[in-house]
Amino acid sequence: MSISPEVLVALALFFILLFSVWGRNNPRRVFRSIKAFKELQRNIELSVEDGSRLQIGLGSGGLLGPQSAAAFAGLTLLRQVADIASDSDQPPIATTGDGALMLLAQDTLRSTYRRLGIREQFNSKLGRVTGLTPFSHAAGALPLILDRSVLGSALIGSYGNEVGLIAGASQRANGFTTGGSDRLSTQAILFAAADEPLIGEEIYATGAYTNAGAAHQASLRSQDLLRWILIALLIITALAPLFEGSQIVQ
Amino acid sequence: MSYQSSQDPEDRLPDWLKALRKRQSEEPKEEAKPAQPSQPPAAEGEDTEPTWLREIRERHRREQPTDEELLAEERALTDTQPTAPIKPLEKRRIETPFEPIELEKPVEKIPEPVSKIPDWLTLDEHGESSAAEETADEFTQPEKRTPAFADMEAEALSPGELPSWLQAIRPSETFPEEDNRSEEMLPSSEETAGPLAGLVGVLPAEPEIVQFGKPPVFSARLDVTESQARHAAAFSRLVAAEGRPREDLGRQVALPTRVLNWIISAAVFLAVLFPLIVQSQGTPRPEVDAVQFAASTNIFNAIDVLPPNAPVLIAFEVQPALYGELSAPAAAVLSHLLDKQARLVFISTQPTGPALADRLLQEHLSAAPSVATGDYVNLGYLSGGMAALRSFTSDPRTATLSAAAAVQNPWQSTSLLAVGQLRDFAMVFVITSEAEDGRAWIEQAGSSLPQGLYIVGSTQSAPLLKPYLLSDPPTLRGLVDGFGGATFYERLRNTDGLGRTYWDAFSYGLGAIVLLILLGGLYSRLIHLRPEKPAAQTEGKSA
Amino acid sequence: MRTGIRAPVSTAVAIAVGFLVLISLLIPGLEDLRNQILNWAILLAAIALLLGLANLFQVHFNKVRDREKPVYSSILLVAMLVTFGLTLWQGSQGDVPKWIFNNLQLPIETGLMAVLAVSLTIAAARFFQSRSDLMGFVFIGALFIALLAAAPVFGLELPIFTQVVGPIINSLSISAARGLLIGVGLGTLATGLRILLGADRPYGG
Repeated sequence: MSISPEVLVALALFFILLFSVWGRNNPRRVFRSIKAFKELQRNIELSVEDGSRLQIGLGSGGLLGPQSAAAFAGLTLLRQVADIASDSDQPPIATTGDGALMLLAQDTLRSTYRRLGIREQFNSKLGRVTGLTPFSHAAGALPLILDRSVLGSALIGSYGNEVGLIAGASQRANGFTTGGSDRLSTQAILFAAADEPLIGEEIYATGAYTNAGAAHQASLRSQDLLRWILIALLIITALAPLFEGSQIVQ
Repeated sequence: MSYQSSQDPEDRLPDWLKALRKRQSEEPKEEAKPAQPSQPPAAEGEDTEPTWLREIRERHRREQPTDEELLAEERALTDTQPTAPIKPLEKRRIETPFEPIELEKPVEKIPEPVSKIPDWLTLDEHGESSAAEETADEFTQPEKRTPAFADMEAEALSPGELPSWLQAIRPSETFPEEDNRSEEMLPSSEETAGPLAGLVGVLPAEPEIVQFGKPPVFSARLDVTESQARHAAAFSRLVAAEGRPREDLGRQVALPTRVLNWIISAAVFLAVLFPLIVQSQGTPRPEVDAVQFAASTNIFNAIDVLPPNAPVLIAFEVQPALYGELSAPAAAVLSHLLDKQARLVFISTQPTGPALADRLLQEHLSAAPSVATGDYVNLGYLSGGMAALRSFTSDPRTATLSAAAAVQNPWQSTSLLAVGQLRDFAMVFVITSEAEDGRAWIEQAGSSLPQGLYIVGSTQSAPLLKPYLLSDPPTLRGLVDGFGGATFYERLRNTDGLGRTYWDAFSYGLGAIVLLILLGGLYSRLIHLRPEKPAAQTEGKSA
Repeated sequence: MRTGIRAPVSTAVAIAVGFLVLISLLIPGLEDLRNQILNWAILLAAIALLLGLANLFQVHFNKVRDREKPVYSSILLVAMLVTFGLTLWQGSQGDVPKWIFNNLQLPIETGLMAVLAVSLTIAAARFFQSRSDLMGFVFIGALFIALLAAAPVFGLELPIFTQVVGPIINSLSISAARGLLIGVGLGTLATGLRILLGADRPYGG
């Protein structure tokens, strides 16, 4: 038994549309608690109160590949943080190691400030490239981490090993660090070096947990449902030979 | 016009004034009209009092202005109002970034400032706010009052009546009665000489400034309470601190932590450097029949049967930071390929990939004839990540390449003359430091390669790539990873290369790291068990 | 960069291009169209690289102008301009650009990797203090086994790790990695569909 990519895409599309309509006004839309998002929210509020800023790292992955999904999660977080911290003296600052992501980060901040009616607060320095290779990007982000005006960092994007440099520096400077990546080796590094890591697909739940909209919640519910479907298929495929003798179900 | 000094005042009068007096004397006094403000004052004798002087006397006599005069003043006040009709809000509204509901709320809360501020302060003669032209955001302020103005427009104005809205907003404090103030300001003594004799409150001929005397002393000290003074001082400090740049914006790591970092760094570096300095080769190498290196054996076997001059594509997806680790397994495999006289063709989706490939060849494989003569092709940097990879695997010849590669037209070289599709390469290798780059090649190119794909990777990439070795059909045919793979491959070939050189350093470094983590962990646990000092919580920021 | 293009237009273009590429993967005969779009994307990615370079220059130029730690930024600007100029003059395969890459960029980045090794060692040591729950102990246990099974330690081979425990842990980690990768794949798929539907517009639309 197998599931083709086309069927998987169609199922995902169907579930997203279904949950967007069906679950829109459902009061029982409660997700399990993820400590990283709770701590992140607390730090956003802290930054607004004490006039410090948050650094949102978007990683070095480009937009032309699967790593772009992690970067989009980071951009969603950037929009939400900019929304909440718009009253703060220090707006959030986005760092990236990719030129296209830099453009999107600036665009996200600009559109958020325009929507809030504070477009004069936008500055192109708020979305910046700190280096164009992964390690130079991390090295360029270190001065920001060590800046006292930065309360903490949220590293949501396609990071590689270089994330260890950023998280380690933040940890030594007693700054809050959370992070997630689509790369498993990076997740392992973040598990050791960050205060609150995002493991596995938790990074893609950023929008749903930061109230970015009904579509994000619908997509998270679709992921959950598809995962259960795949688990069921895997179990059925594994157990099928036991019930059908030597015939392997394809 | 100049006046000549004379004894008789009547003689000093100009002709036109004399004619005017004559005409006035002929007219009855009841029909005398008030003099226009623009008329020049005329000197009068005591017996023949001019009309304007008589009016001043009358004004002094009366206590309150009549209703008719009040009405006349009101008419004069309306002259300062804009004559153009005020546009309703809906016509002047501009697009604002706020939600409509947020815009509507303050409108209901601001009738008080509207009633206190006169219209001429907010609207110019064209009915537009002068501030409105400065910024779009400020332009929204008059909008908020517009609904009130829109209601007023509905009322019909009669010329002789003072409308109720004007009465409501008429700033009586802003325009005080002239007489009330002048009585207080003017001297109370009666004029005894000159044409103004008998009048009270006449301005003195000499200004008061020429009167000498000690000026009154006003105290500059505010009468504030202690609490107010304390708050004011705190506010002053706050304002002063805001403008002052911070002395040190950088955080510093606490000294004990820095010392610990230095000790750990020194221990790791010494453990790695020592075997390299003494050229130790005592660490046992992996056995040739080791099960965990079976995938490396697959690569060895595949290369060993490669015919001479076979085109081999090498995707060099290496980051500079991980070049040190990758150079050992890559050199081992490439050396084998060069020994089999393969024609190497390099490409990379990393900007630094082509330069690193050149460096590897020149640094470690320059003894090979094809490297020494430059008989290899570097297609350069393929920008665009996975999208570019997809395009390249579909049609390598038309894929967009870097400018340098396009100018040299690498597809005209002898190595690539027989290559039209990806499957025309005898073997395709991916040398990668990240598992994601290897996965991208497997997913995009694996299906179009019947001969499969071979990967030379880093140690960290191996666990994520090994599942592809087990897939059915196998998309990944062989894997050499890290120093262990390099050392094993060199042993298969009975040679000593970079793998053998670094194997001892790797072993000692690994041991040092295990020990440091263990000792550091125990130390951390001991620190954690001790009662925490209160100051330690703010160690980083206060340091 | 402000394009002046209104949000509905940019959203429509983004959705249309995304659906075209997706459909071209499912329906045969649209390969040429897909390759054309991919070539545009490749060109735009190269331009974005240049824009990133320009942004880097702008940020550090402003730092020098505002006297905000100007020394480091000045060094970066001078190095950037010199390298850029020389590469334009000699080409990327020229002697001087090669020398700059081999003797400046490569050692610096390799040095950063060495710093990372030390940094991760310190982080692992502090891990005992920061996480004392069950998962923390599992992580530390797996870390030690992976390190001891990777190679002989201090020149001594430990067969119990390299031949017994190591392969078991290796199989477990591969299985766990597959599970995590399935989750990552589903997340990537859902994110892509959200953008295709226009429900998530990271381009400020």
